[in-house]
Amino acid sequence: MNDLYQTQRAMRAMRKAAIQRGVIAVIDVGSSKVACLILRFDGPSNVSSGEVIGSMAGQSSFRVIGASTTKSRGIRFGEIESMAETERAIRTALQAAQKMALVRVDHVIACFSGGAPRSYGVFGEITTENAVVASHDIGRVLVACDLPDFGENRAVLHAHPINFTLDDRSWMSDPRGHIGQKLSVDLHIMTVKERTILNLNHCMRRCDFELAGVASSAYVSAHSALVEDEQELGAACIDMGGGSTGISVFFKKHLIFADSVRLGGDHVTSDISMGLQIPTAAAERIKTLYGGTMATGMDDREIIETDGSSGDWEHDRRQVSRSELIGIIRPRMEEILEDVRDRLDVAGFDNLPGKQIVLTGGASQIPGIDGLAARILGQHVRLGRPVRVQGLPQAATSPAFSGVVGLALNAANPQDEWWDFEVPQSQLIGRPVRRAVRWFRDNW
Amino acid sequence: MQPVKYKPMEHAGSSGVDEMVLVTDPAPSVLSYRMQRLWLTPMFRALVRVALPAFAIAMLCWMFLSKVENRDYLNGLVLEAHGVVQNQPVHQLQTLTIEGASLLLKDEIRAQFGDLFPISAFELDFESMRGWIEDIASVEHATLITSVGGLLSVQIKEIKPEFMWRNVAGLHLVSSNGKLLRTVNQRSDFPHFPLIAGKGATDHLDEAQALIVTAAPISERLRGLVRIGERRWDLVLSDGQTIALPEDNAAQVLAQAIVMSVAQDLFERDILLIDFRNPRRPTLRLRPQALAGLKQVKSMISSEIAK
Repeated sequence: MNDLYQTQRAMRAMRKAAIQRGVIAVIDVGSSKVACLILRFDGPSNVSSGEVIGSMAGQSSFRVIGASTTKSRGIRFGEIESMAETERAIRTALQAAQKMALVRVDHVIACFSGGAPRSYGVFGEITTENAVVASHDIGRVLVACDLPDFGENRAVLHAHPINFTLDDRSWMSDPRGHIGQKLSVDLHIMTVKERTILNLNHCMRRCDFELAGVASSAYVSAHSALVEDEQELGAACIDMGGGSTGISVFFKKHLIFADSVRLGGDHVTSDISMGLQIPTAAAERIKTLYGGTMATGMDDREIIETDGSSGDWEHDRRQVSRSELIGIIRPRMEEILEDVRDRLDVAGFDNLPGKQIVLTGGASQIPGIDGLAARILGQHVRLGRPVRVQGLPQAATSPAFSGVVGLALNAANPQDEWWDFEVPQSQLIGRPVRRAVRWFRDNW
Repeated sequence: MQPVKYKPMEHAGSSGVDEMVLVTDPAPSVLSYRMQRLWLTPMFRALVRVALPAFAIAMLCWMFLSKVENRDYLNGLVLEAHGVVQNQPVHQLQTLTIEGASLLLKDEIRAQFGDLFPISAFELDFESMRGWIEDIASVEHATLITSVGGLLSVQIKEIKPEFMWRNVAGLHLVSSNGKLLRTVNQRSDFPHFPLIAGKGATDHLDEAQALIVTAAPISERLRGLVRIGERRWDLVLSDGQTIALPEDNAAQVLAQAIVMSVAQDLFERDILLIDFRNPRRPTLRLRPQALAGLKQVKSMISSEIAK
């Protein structure tokens, strides 16, 4: 835990330094595409000039000066599978974005969806040293949380303190300066497989970039797709990517649950490819152009030519009706959404006051998905798009970019995490020493 | 929902079976990626775009100029260009005209500068020319004006000589305020200037002027004035006759002396010196033979009386 605390703090410091310097890159390493934005931070004076309140209520302290997206390679289920291929894809995206921004960037914040994220709610309690809660008490209570066994080789990706309770008062956002005895905290911890972070870090290093932060794409895409009320009242953001579908549940503006389903749009494509016996590229194209989830009588009469380059004329000139296509797509979409339903049920999503479901991500662009999702997930379903940020190109405003835009927002206004608080060093380092001293005293 | 429209798929290499399709990696190579990042580095950009060209230019200039023949070649080019401009007809000064100067002064200036013409206005050093002219004692100041048609006109304000002064070095023309203007060889060149002599004569020229005016009745006999002992004047007449004047009221005494001399016909007599240093008691000095004659006459008279 100490090691993690130090590395995360180092990344925070790096991010702060990069923002101070003015430019930082954010990159969404997805299964179907790698999207990169380069942000320029001008400081608050430039932004609010001429306006009473800045556009986006101060969220636009940055401006996108470079954007690029490329087809991702070597990534499956949001995890790096082939290092060299992934490095090339990342390099392509970073180079194009830097070329557009005409600036050299050295720091990058990355998000990914894989690594089998698991979320834990943990609880910690201390008695305050004085009657008043001081700022080091926050660090102490965070250290006092009894952590569950995460399993082998898993690392903490996010650790948000979501609720402070002082004696009988709950839902305090900032207990410092309050008078009380018993301080407790609810901490949400999200872990992923450690090697996914290490691989990503290694990849960035090979591209001459310093990793200034990592985030879960389910978490960050909720930042751009959910509106503030939804985050406050309770909502789930379903980020339907190519290789995996991320789920994040927000309540009181904090992430309280995150999970992922290892199914996504690529599985739909491979279903079409297998079902119609056409190449993957052709299947992807047919899915994008003619795909849907609700078959109507009209769709029986709409004939789609299946292209192919197999050389067999008869095979390449087959025709399918759109109903057949929908018949392939729909079961897979239902499967994905049902898996999501299961995860949300496990998390107790039904108990939240607002049961808003927001679908975003590239696979949410398939027509009719909102109707399908409403049947499976509940009535409050809407399609989410990323918020508009300054300088974002029109091409990057589709739902597929909510991850990278959310990462940009998160880079500009990061939420407090566990490692943002000063933890007393004695708690981290002193323990073994104290134990050694005690052992010494006991035995001599 | 999107209506179905048939859109044919572009197959790679569909135009011909034999056509080789080169599928290149869209990713930049590590080298090109690094080069591009290097190029986007501000310091490096400045170095390549400003510092290196500047250094190269400086280096080339230095290499070129370090050879003597190159420097000479450049100098030659510059001189040639100078020459072309200077020798333009509009810049040629053809003639020299001098205004406001006496003939002698004109000749002097012409003798110095006349040979230069025609000359380009760029080559002529106007300042030193003016300096040389103004260094001439009789020139108060000079103005040089060039005008259309290659004319250089020198306008001179000359100081007029009033007296001729003789000292051990020779004859000099002197202005009214005592400034030595010019050395002359012969008195006969300037016969109309009154001659003065003696040490300190040039310091009291106003007195000399007054004496000359006063001596107008005997001007045809006046040869000059001599300053004696730096304190008083002698009037020298032809035949070596001299009128010695006192220090004070010299002109008045002279007028009195002239009246007296004319009345008594003194100038016609064989007298060497009429001494008016004490105006109450004028004294005469006779020439030696006259004195001898006088003595002879006196002795004859006394012998006559004795007889």
